[in-house]
Amino acid sequence: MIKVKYDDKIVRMFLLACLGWGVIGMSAGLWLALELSNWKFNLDPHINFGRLRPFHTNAVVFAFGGNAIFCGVYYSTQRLLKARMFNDVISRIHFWAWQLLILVGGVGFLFGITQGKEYAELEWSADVILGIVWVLFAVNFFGTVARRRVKHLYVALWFYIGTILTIAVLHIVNGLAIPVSLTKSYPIYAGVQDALVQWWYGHNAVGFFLTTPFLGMMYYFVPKAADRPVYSYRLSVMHFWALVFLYIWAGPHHLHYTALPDWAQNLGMVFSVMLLAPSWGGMLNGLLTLRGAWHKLRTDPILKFFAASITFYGMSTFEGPLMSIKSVNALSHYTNWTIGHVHSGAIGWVGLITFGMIYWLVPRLWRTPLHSWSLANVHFWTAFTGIMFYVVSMWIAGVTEGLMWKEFTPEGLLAYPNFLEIVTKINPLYWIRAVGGMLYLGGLLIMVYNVARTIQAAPAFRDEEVDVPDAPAMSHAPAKYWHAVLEGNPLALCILTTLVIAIGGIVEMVPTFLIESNVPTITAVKPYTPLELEGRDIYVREGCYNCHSQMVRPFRDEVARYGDYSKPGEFVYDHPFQWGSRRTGPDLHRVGGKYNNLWHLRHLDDPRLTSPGSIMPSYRFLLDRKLDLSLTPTKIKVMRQLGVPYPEEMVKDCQAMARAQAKTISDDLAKDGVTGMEDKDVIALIAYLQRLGTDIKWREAAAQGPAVSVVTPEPTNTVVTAEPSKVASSDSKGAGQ
Amino acid sequence: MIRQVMEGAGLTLWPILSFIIFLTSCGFMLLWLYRPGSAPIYGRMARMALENEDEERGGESEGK
Repeated sequence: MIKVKYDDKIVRMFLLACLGWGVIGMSAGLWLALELSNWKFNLDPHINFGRLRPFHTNAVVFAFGGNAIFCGVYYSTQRLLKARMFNDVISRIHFWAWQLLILVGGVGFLFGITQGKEYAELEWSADVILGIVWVLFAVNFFGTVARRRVKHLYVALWFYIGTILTIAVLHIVNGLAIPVSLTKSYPIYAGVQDALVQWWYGHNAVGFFLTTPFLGMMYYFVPKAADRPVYSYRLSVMHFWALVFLYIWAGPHHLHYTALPDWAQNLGMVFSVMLLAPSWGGMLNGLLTLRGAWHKLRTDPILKFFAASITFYGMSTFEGPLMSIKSVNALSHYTNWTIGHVHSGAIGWVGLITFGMIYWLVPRLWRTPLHSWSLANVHFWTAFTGIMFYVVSMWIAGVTEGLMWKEFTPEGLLAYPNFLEIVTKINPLYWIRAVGGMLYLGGLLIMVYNVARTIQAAPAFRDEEVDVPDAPAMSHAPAKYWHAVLEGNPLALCILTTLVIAIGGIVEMVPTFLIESNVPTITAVKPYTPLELEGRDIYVREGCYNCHSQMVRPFRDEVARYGDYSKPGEFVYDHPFQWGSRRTGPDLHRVGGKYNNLWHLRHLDDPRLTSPGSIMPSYRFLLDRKLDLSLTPTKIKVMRQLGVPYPEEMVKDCQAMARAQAKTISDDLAKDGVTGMEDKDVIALIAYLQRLGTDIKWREAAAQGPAVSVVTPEPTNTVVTAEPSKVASSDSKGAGQ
Repeated sequence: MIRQVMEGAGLTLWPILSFIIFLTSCGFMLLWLYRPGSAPIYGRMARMALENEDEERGGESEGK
């Protein structure tokens, strides 16, 4: 036997970072809830909703969640492998680089530095750092695996391996971009393809960053806390392989009824429904691990956190497949129901299991009893009540607005043609959500106090030292069989896992990229002008996609409210796509030409001037901020590299072209008495908004009556024809934007 | 060429093929997991997370 000292200092560092970022990220979330309840909470420009929302999501997912993962992985891996982490220096670099990355990325979001893709907002330079840090983590993890003193890898470690490999693949594939500057890039994908890759990433980021590592932690910490072995090891084998295989396929359910090819949508739906089986298998395995220990739930806050967390996992993994069914999704998508669903997973499953783990770890890591178990109990009930306030209010808000959007009068007109009528209807529920957020954050603050008092009373720190066999790795399986071989051979496990996760992505993406009929070309669709491109970048910078979609689905109500439904070929120059996932405000894909330039200027200056009751923040600063065209030539060059057919001479002419178009718009504004706007940001944004959805002449087609083709087909590609019934009702009246 | 093969094969074949492979794999895995005499092995595996505690107590095998 030899003595091994586990590196517990790094676990403590990640634990404290998790708590600190939790307070910051959840405070930002609460502030966002207040901004939606009352627009005056927006503090432009840096704390406007569009900029603060990516800060919040990244702070809770990658900072709070990420640090929780590293804390749990570093603690359990060492003990399961009976080996100290591979390299202390790598551990420290991993820790500090991760915190720095989040800090730089988060501050960047507040300054509008973003790629404009949800949960992948970090710009390319930060993406590179993230990639390096992830590789360091992988080296440290697999280095520890290589020098383990236990032959077989326990199930928790498979989930960690699945996480490390899949996140690397997702990050690389979705992050491919061509830089314009250190803080600006354009993704290599456009439109439909960008949407598919992004939601393949987005869904699997949830699956492999917020699910698999926490399942690994569940398989380690729940048996520890309950002092019972995992209920069924066989079920865990099935759980792992079925989950990692099925999860990858489900991404397209985020794009139902959009311009994504129908076969891909159906594929996403079917596999999402199938995902229920492994998810519930895992949930039951977790809950039944508590068999024989149910009585402890009355007194042990840790088990309460774990049991509630696993229950929320079961709830959200039931709700997810339900919402992925196309007919349900037709109602739920773009509504607050999605927000409620996401939070039942995030603050229910991820949050509660993290809190349970921290309460279990703190007395062990600091070798002193927890300051107050009563306060831990108070934390549990505060958090639980907060979650219920949050998700129930969002469920009601989501169903309410979904139904109101779709309701018609007996005369066949939209019952609520003014979008704002619906926004104001659900406003009280936004306040209830904010109360839920306050309770949840309050619970976290109680925990921070409890942990701080515990640490104050702790003796001097020392790493845990254990006796382990100084011999070749020992075996837990007397007989050789194929899965035992896999469990004892990390390389084989890694290769098989990579193959299993690759299948779904390849089957969905390759045809979408290679088969032209998936994205029919529309000759009328032209690249953005230089000024519109700059305006688009402002749209991305201000995070408009966080509240506005750009995707009119082929539903009667959406065509009646917004205009002709969106076609795949209309987005071929959109790097990145801006379809959005939420309609706090109305869809903008057909907003071009709907209002005059002055309306847009007044709306951006103060949304309540044009739309009384609006909860949109003011963008007055865009009327003062000088438009920067210094990067426009580089942007045109990069777009040319991406295949956008700009003529070569546009690289040198683009600034003059942008100024000329800006002058046209400012001259139009001058007729209404508004002067001095020709060199301001707002002009570029107006140019972009006025361009949206106008390449195909759907308004003219609607005016001409039935059976009119609104696009010019390419000889070899599919003709996209507007359906008369839909176009005929696509008047833009009363959208209340 | 890859493009031509995919367009010719028809896109609906892909998910069906993947689904069949998935179900078949799961079926074989289930049969293997519940093969006779395997319970003690999985019982030992299930206790791996508790080994520190077991060593202190001289633990026993449990699990399904």
